[in-house]
Amino acid sequence: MAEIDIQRKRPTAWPWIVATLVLALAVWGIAEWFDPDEPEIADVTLEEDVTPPAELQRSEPAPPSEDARSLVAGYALYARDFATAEMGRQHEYVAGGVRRLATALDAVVQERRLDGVDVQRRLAAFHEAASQIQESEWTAQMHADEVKEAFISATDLLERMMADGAQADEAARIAVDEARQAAGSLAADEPLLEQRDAVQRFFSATARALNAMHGSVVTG
Amino acid sequence: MPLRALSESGDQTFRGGSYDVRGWEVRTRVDDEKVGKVDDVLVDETGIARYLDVDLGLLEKHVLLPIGQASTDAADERVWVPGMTRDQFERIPEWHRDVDRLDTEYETRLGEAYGGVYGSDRYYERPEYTAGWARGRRREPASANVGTTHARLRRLGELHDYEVADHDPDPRGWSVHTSDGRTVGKVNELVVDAAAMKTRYLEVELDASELGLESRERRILVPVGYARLETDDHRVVLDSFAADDLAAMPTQTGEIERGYEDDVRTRFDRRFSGEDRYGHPRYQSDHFYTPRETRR
Repeated sequence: MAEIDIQRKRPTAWPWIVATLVLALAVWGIAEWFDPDEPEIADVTLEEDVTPPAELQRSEPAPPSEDARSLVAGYALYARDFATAEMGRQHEYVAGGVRRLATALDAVVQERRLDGVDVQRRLAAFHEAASQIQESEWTAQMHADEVKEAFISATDLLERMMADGAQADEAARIAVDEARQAAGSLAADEPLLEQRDAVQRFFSATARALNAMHGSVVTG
Repeated sequence: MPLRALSESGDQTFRGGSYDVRGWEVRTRVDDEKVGKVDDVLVDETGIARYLDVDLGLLEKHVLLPIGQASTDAADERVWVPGMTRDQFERIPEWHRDVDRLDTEYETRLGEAYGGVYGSDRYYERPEYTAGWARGRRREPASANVGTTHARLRRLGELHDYEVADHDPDPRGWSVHTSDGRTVGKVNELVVDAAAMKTRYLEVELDASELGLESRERRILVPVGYARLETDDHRVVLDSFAADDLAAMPTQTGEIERGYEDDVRTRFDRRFSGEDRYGHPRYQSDHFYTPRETRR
């Protein structure tokens, strides 16, 4: 004799699980649709994507600042005008050129963050030499020894800047070589007034070197 | 098949999980009243119990209780009579404790007396519907007695919130076999009483070609108490019916009405007459003896 009981179906958890998942998905979808931060997130992602690794970042030239750009440009104009300067005021022009070169070098070194020991040491040496020139009493027979020392010091600094920057192009390298030759051609025991061409070549070469380096020197 | 009193039998061996209930208290479940005690047990020639001889203690009146209409509570050594009150039980025709007077005429009166208590509100407390009503050791109060309301019957497939209980097999789709060894169809659906949480009928789809029926599809209802489930083989066996008996049953495919149920029950009852009368569920002890290990 059979007996067959019945019972109420027990609620299964699956419908609830599925409903919860669907609901969560819907909430997420709505939140995504109306999320005002989403564009910012996209921007951040894009920015992160285009940011180069540290190694590449070192080789990417930073945009020149207006200060360094104007100082280098001003120095280049000054160097160009030196050729037409009156001989009677040549001393002022040399002192002014050295001062502008020192200012331009300061700006480029600071802008490119060339804070290596050698660069800073040579920059300090150039400032010392430039200061002596500014303080020297001008005479017609004044020898070129102090100027030559300052020019060589500036050339050493430029070479060190190129070495630290490791990105100097061929034009900068040639210009620095010309500056070194011009500086080396100065006879330390001869009157400066008689060596106007060498001074002019030095100013011209360093202006080209700074122009070239200003766009190629890498950040440190 | 003559019966004999167990107390007068030389062989008092209890078989197949049965045990001696003589001396146990008898109570009616509807009103939870004590009506007497088991004085003796009438067994057939194979030793199977068919009646309990209940001593009412009223002027030494005894009545016979068909064993299929009772159930034991082994823990408390009680026999429960479902679907009846004490007053109803006391109006059962008296048993004069003489097996020679246990004839067909007396048993017919006895059957009518017991059948009379199953009014509309207790329709399904008949043994053919509630064969296992006392499964386990149920002791629910009368107010919670299952099947006391005229519940609307429904096919289980229509009740989306219900299913066959975990502890019972689901015979839907099982083949149906008759006593003559024929396969007459399959169980198509269960007709259930959702209020009582019970299956009342098996809806059997008869195999028209096997039974030589004109209609290609004939569905009948079989009171669940007439069926025996062979769970290993997924078979339903109707031990007391031949294939032709089922072919003669009225078909039913729509709403189940009480008139149809009466017709079905009457037709099935007719099968149990004469020597076959003890095949009726009211005389089956399958669910009478609850396991004695539940005794406290």
